[in-house]
Amino acid sequence: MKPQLALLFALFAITLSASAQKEYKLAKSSGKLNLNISGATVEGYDGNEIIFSLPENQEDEVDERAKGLKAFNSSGFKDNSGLGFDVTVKGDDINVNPVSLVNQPKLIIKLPRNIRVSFSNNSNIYQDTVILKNLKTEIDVSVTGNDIVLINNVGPMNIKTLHGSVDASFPTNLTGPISIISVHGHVDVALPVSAKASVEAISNYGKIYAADDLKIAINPVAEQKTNITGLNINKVVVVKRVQSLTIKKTETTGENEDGNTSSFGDDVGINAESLNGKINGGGIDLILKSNHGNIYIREKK
Amino acid sequence: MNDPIKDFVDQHREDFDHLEAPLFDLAGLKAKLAQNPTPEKTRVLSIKPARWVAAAAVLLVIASGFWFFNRTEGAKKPEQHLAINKGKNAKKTDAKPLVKVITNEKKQVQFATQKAVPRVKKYSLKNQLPPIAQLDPIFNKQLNDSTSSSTRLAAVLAIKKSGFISYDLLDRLANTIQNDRNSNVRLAALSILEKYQQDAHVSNLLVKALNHQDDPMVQLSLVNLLGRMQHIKIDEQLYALVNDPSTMEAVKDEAYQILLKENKF
Repeated sequence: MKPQLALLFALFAITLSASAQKEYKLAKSSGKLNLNISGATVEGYDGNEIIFSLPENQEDEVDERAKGLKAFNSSGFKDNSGLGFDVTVKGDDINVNPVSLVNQPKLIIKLPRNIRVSFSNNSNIYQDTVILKNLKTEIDVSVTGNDIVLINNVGPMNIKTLHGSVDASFPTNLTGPISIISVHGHVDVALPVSAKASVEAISNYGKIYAADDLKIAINPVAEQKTNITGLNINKVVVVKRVQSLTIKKTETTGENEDGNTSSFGDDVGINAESLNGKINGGGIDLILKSNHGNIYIREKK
Repeated sequence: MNDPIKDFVDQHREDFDHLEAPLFDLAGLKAKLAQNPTPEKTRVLSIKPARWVAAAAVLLVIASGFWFFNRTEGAKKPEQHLAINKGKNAKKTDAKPLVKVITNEKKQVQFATQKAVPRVKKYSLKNQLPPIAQLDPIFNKQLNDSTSSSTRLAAVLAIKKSGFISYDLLDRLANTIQNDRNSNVRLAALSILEKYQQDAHVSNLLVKALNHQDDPMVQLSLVNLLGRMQHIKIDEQLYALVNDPSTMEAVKDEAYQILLKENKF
């Protein structure tokens, strides 16, 4: 019975891989890729063409009536890639837009390493995780609700998400500046022990956690010229394998200038925790901000 | 149905109708009206044309005087550069002047004192210019690089690290806060202006930045920052933000908190 089962499985796997994996290739090895879609996985590779594809398990409903026709939308975008996306080259820019906002498949893009990436999604409804990995040039992400995963990208990077979270794992040879900001989500970065960086982390309502092994040298408070009034030194509670750091905490003193006690005191939300420090003597600028989420700076395993 | 009140009314209807309307006395009314005194004379204030001219002249003098002093109070002179006096005095809380103006002839004190803030020096053009004069063109070029947000961010961070600043540069950073396409760059520029928040010109720039801000992330930071600045009044802007349906919830929450703290809501 077992050989038959194995044969069946192999046949199934072959048919699946043969039937799926729609691809669209674009010969381009420089410029900027502007993605205005709901989500994507972008991976850098050593090649000269951009390869767009859909996930292998993507169900594809074929409309017999639409054979020989192309999908259009009100913005004038047409499905010229065969994947449901409009791919247009305009000078140095390669613009990718969805033909239909609803049911956008999650694109997989293999990108020559010299092409810069800009990902933008302002939709409150259609949002999927954005995964960017092994890229060696500038990355610019500005989204409303997408979660963002960054793996082994060299930088520089400007990452912004309003409601999503950011998880990043950096290589050693980083290029700055790197700025990651979120309003509601967490910011979690993993750095190699040997990475050199000047870290500036701020969380208004969350906490900041940092790994012991990274040996972050906290800058003296005197150099932090902002928020000088009402300083408090505050110990931050930390979890396993993360060091307890002395962190400058700014908060309202609970009193107005005229001496009246304010009605809310510390709960007023003007209560930011910040960390300014250097890893391995400083290096690239690493700015991490989250208004309501926590910030984690951990060692990359 | 048996309704006792209705029965009672029916039975006593005639008793209710004992009053009669008096006859209309037109002659009597006319007589009454005739007796009424004539209305009081209203006083008419007449001003001769010459007085109008005098009043206009006085108003003009007051207005131009107000404009002139307001302009000089803003103290925005492009040839003056500020430089942070790094180090030891940065954290002092004693009552020393914020800004020193150094000229070739003499030293004079300019600004009034506030609580501990970075002390800054002003240089006149005659003095040796601080390094910012050399760096300025580079910063300017990088700040205006529309192709790369990272280049602009790097420029803002370089300005922050250099420790030197001019009012001209602060104006350009305020412009960045307003118009840059990238939120990360805007926030980095805001962090520089935050350092000089006690300066009158900078606090004006910050309030202006809030007036026209369309980026929720920057709105959040601005509301948070301006809410902490005791001498700044932004109640109108906060009301506008909380009443605007397009404002992000987190920004509204921040604005509500500040209004609540001041018991203004």
